[in-house]
Amino acid sequence: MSEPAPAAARPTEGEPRHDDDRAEPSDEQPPDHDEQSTATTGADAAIAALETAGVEHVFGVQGGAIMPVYDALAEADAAPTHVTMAHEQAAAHAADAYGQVTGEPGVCMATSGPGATNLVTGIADADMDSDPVVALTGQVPTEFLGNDAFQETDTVGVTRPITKQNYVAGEADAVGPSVGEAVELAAAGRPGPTLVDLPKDATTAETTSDAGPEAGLPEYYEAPERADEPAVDAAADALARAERPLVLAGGGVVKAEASEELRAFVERFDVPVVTTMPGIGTVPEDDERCLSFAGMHGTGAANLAVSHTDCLFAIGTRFDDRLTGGIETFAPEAEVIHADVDAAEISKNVEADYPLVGDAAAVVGQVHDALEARSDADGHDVWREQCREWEATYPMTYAAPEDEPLKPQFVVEAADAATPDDAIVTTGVGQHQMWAAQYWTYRDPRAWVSSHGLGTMGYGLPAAIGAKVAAPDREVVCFEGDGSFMMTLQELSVAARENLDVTVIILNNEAIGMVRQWQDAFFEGRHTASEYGWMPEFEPIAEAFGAKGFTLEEYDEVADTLEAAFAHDGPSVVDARIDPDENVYPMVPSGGDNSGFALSEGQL
Amino acid sequence: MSRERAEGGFADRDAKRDGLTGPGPDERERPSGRRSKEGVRVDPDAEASHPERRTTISALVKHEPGVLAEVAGLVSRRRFDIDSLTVGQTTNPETARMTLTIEEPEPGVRQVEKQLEKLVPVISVRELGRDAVRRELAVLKVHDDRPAAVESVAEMFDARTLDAEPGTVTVEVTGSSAEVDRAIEAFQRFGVRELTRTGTAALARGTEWTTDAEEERYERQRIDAASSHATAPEAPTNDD
Repeated sequence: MSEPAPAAARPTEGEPRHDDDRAEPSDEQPPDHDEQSTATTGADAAIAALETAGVEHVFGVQGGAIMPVYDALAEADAAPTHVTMAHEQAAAHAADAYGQVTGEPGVCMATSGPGATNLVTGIADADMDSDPVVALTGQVPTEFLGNDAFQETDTVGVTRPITKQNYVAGEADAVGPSVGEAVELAAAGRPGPTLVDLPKDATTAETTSDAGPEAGLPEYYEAPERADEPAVDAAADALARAERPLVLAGGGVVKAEASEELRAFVERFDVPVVTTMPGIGTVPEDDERCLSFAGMHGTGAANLAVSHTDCLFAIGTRFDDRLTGGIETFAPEAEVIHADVDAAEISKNVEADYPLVGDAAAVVGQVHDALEARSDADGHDVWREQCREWEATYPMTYAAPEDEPLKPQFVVEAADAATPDDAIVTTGVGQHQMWAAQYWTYRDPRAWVSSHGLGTMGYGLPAAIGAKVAAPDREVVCFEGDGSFMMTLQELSVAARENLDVTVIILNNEAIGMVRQWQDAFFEGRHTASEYGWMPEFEPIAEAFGAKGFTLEEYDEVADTLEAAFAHDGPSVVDARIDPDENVYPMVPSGGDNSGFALSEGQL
Repeated sequence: MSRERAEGGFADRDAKRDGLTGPGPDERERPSGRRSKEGVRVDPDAEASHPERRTTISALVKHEPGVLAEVAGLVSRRRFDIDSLTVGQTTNPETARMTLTIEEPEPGVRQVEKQLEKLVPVISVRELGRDAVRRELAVLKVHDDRPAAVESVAEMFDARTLDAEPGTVTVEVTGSSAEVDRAIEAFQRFGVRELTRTGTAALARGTEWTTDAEEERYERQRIDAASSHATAPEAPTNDD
């Protein structure tokens, strides 16, 4: 990656920049590092804290109040590499994807006011998906706080409901410890976003905490490790007597690096598995016991298995409504064993008959051992056969007649076939996201990087940038919709400047397709504000940004075009003109019964 | 997932377009069980429901800016039904105690506890038992048309007279929530000009600790703090 170009201070529309004149609380200048080797500023302490925590990359956008921190970033020897993004929202998404791919906190940085508020969508996204993200935001000097100063926003107030914890480092001495704690906390227990607000006087003032303080978790913070043994025993009894046991693997399995334990468990006890969308890849989708993901657009077999199981071993899931459908009909015959590191998730949406609070890897191991000690744990042949039959009855086939436009499912499968097994897929949100989930075969955790809980359109491209920075040696494929891509496509400039070899495949139906699908199903076909009728040409847009552009319309071009796009050393964009009438099925309507999934609109 | 490309040629337009096969929703075997709206598996013949109950939750929190906003924000965004919230100092200058009176069904009460516990500045949370000591305070300003009658009502409710001027008498009532309710109702016969009332402040009874962490952490800190801090800072009631 190239060195970040020195970015100009954030321009402000229609108003002369004047924050610097009025924002300097004193004549204090950052100390000269050569002359005063022991004296450091709060900004230096922030960077030192990142270094101490092992942070290697920061995604951000410059601006007035954060300038001292950027200055310190340039000065420090072992400072993290900065990736200058085009928009702060993208910085937060890139950090989020970085966190999803590595399991380490992704760090993003922005100035006060609009810089901070632009991060908000990305922070909310990380909060919903429990991704480890740290946001550092500039703030006006403390003496201006509360006076509606230029580019002042109550950042901690705005982000309080969507962060695991946030901090105001109100003085230079507090900067290092706050940043250190924020990084540590973001990845601890149930991961999530943290934020440190950095008033400009705190980052410019001197502090003696120059060494990059020892990062520590907040006092009283405890992440549970192992579940209580009596609870594990009770859960193992329930699993042992179950006739139709089923594992539901959620995103928590990914976060806890518990895939290996889970795979061993599933294999040893021959239990079928379904995943949630964030749990995709925890068990290989081509494993004979894996029925793929359940929920609104999950497979028929997964939804039938969830509906008929008599013992659901749910691990690291918060029972989101897109998974459960109507709660009254969710796994209605199952005793529920719920393992989660967050006690507040237990019995929040679905009552847990057997709550197991602890780290997913530890708890799966505990249940494995407890079940091993029971003689009657095996023998689910009838149930396994039933699941196989459902898979055979409801295959994920699709029609692809030559006289109709290109089908998106075919493009996804072709891209899967053309890429190595360890490729990373990122997506935006909408129909394209569901096809990418349904028709790509995921074999490993941290290969599927998406916006689940918040459903943020435009997540795909910035996420691809974060994923590529995190894993430069892996192929990164970004599926986007035309509508979703339009929300963050300016980030192509970043991919081009940093020469990040990501491939964006736009499944272009010239519509907000998922909305249009719902309008057809539930709003009598009134396509209000969902069909564009006119879209820009994505191939020349890509070229103008310095990426390689392709347009794809015919089946017989698919293989060659994708191959050329993947082969291009640098970012490329494939505008795949897909059948605009194609919709996502199976579908459980919102609040519906999973076992009643529709295979076509007529069945809704 | 299947990698077959189906050949198309289905009779029905939907089937042709979507290409998915298999029996429709009405032709499948469906489960017969149900859950309640709270996600509890139920006997379909005996729909279980959790009645709401009024209870007191005590939370020991770090005494730092933003805690009150964090707790208030949690209660509001999760739509917990809350009657009152009080916050004030403890014997330890580094901690504050929040007392919440809530009205929730059993799963809601458990959620309030667990969601509070999850907040980083919250040290320890507990639902207080029925026998806990609970007090509220109300200050009422009543018309002084019948001073003797006001005085006898005040006496009946152990109310203190804070101020008496021509026209009004200001009295203070303390007691359980129900006692304060009854006192206010009794004073209403004179006409209550103005009224202000606190939420519930509560402690566990006897030697029982109000929140779990106190015995080992808070008490130790109190002793440490007593040797190093002369005065406690103000309670964080207006910390934002």
